[in-house]
Amino acid sequence: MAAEAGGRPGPEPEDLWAEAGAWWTGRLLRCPGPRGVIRALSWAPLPEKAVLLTPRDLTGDLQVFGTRMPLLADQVFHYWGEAAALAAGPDPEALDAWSRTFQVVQAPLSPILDLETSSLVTAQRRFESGPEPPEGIWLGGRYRTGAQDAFLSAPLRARAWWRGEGLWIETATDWPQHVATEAARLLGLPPERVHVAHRPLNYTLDTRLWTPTQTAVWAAALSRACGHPVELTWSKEEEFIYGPKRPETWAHLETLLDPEGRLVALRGLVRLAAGAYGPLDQEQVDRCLLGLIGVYPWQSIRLEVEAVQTHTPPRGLFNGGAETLGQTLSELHLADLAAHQDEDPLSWRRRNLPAQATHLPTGGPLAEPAPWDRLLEMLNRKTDFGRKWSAFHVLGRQGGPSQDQTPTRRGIGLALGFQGSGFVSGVASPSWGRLRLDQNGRAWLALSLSAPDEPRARLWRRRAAQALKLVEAEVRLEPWVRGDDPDPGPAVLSRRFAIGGPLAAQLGEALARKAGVGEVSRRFKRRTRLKWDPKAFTGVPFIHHSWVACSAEVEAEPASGQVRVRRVTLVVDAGPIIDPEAARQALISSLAASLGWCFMEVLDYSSGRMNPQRYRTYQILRPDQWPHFSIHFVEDHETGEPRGLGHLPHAAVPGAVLSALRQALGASFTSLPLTRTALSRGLS
Amino acid sequence: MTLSFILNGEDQELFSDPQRNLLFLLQKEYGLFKEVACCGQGRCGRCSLLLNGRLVPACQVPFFRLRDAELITPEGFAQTGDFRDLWEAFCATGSAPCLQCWEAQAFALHSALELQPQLDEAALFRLVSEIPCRCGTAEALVAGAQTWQRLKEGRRVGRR
Repeated sequence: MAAEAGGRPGPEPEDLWAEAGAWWTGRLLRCPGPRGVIRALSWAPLPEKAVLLTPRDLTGDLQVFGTRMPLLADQVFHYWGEAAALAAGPDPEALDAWSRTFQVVQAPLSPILDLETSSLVTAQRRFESGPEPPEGIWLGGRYRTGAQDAFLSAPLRARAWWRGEGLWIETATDWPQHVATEAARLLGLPPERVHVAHRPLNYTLDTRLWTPTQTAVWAAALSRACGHPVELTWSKEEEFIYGPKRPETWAHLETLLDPEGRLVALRGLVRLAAGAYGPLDQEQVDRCLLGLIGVYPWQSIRLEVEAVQTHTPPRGLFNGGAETLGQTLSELHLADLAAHQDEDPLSWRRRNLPAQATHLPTGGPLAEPAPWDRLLEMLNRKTDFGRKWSAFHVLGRQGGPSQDQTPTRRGIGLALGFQGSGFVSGVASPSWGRLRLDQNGRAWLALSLSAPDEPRARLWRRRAAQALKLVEAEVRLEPWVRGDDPDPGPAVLSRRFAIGGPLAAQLGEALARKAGVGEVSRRFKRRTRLKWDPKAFTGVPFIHHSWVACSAEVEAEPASGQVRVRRVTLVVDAGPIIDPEAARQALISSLAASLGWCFMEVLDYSSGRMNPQRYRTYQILRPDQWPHFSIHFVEDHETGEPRGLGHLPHAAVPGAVLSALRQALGASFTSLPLTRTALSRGLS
Repeated sequence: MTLSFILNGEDQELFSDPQRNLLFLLQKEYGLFKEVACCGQGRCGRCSLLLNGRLVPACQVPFFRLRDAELITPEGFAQTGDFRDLWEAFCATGSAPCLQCWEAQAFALHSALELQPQLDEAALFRLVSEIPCRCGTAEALVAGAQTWQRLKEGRRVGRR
């Protein structure tokens, strides 16, 4: 059964949609320019029966944790393709033909801001910790990461139907509560009349958190206007061009080292492109900063992270995305430092990291100690890192400068990373759960995170069953029926681990204490919110951390600029691994995506418009292009929580690859993606 | 123009523009390929179907090619025993299918192995690579296909 997020449980969606009869098609009419004032909208007479909604008919802003994005651009538009109007009709072909007559009469505005030129800061965090750094020589540079179609675009569809006194919506989302809440608010309905049947997205696509809501509200508004059920779809190409992306960043980072080469102070500025409306920008800024700080023992930190408005479609990665950006930038910088000291990166990290970091350098405690000594030891054992690094180092020196005739050069690099679960800027409301025992001795579990799809909910059932001393099959799931409780945020995978599992266990223990009679409810206890005051930094940044050490071996031909990644090894500590095959596949998926981000996935914009060829030419790394992936889990966890791990490769792989390339070619690469052109430029 | 053809074993007759692409018609008229993230350029493999026994991208086939043709789509293939065997072989690897690419991958693997039963692991891996996806199931798909190959070969020579 597809899950129901709002109001009372309703009929099975398949029956409902079959009953709806003929669906009308919705169309989105977009602004043709990067930025401008809308002078007028013009169109030919509508096809028979078709309806049109302009900003006069549909007002209001979609809210995403405090960020407001207009449903339809009214008077001014801020990015190429922003929605200007909506239309629906029974004949899609007639509607398409008519759509070509629709025009936005505009007065262009300038300038068109991008990451390099924008100074419109939408969110920022300045953090100064530790004493004023002493005088010395600062080492550093400028680093850049590009935008990425983080999860590969796919069509996005929402269906809406007003039936009786209620609104019925079907869409693919990990955040059905948001769909229900926003549809009710924007369309002026009592929340209990909005019913959302959702299909969880495939691999919990964090980036598409608000686009399913936006599309569903548009479909619902059209359905109300025409009196028919409406289906509104973004094509794959539309989603590629206008959907949210991993944001581009640049950073200027500098480090002060002591005479022994140990870390003393870090300073710098990082900017990330938030797109037109900057959804989730403060969360991203805070996560990026935490990623930058990492767990390295800086005595003094002077960092500033800003999200800036750009005239591109709203960006915004969620959860792990922004902290992995911070770590990527930090690891690129640290690779530079290790290379500057001509030191094996493994020894350099051993020298600069505490064996078991229990606190952030800011003073805040970590949820779990960072087991760097074990991870580095295991990585060294699995890859023979030290010996290989020395061998490549000697061979590189014998080969002379990188532009000589030596056909291929090899290098090995290393980087570390972590993934944190849970919000850091306190934007989401608490999650709730309920567990009851029926007369047949069967337990029924409901969590407000989301009505779950069965395979992923197994963890929750298991945790509750363990506490109640039942077999797993005796714990069933039932939909969470939303009352007045606030939206707990999306049910992305890491939140299911970080919140759903402990909450199910707490409920099981509470019911067991009541001798298994009746019903218990619990709220997931959140840790204290982060207080960024450098003098009194408090709060635990994340509910959980998982950790990774990564090494990459590369082969490069200086003459041709050809690079081949031979092997990537990951050593992962993510708590007990419940399903090794699923964990391995999640890591492989992310490994391939992060390598694509390093070398080939280019999203380029000119005056706010994506390169028109990009949809046709955008390539991801295909399985037959994968290097050898070697994945090892730290497996001696008898207790503890399983943790999210899908973002770990993004945090560490770019640093490891670029550090290996630096050893192979003797040149510093600081910008992603490293296309062949960028490589040649770096070599010259 | 009006053409008759066989779609997943059923006789069909349809009137349409001769140049209209087959993917559009299958989606609109028969509700097939509804969830498919096709690139519309014939390079992603997501809308592949068997047209007179040949695997082709539906988004690149004009309607007029359907005269007296026989079509089998992934939806039709999903009703077969071979599909169920492939599914079981894949699940035996301990993997969960990717909702975005599984159907197209299973269909492509099956079609290729029907034509060339002795395809080796490297060839299967190349085949799986033709359908781009962010999921990490490529190795499991190949392992599942090889298990299915062995099962089929066992049946052919009388072993179960």
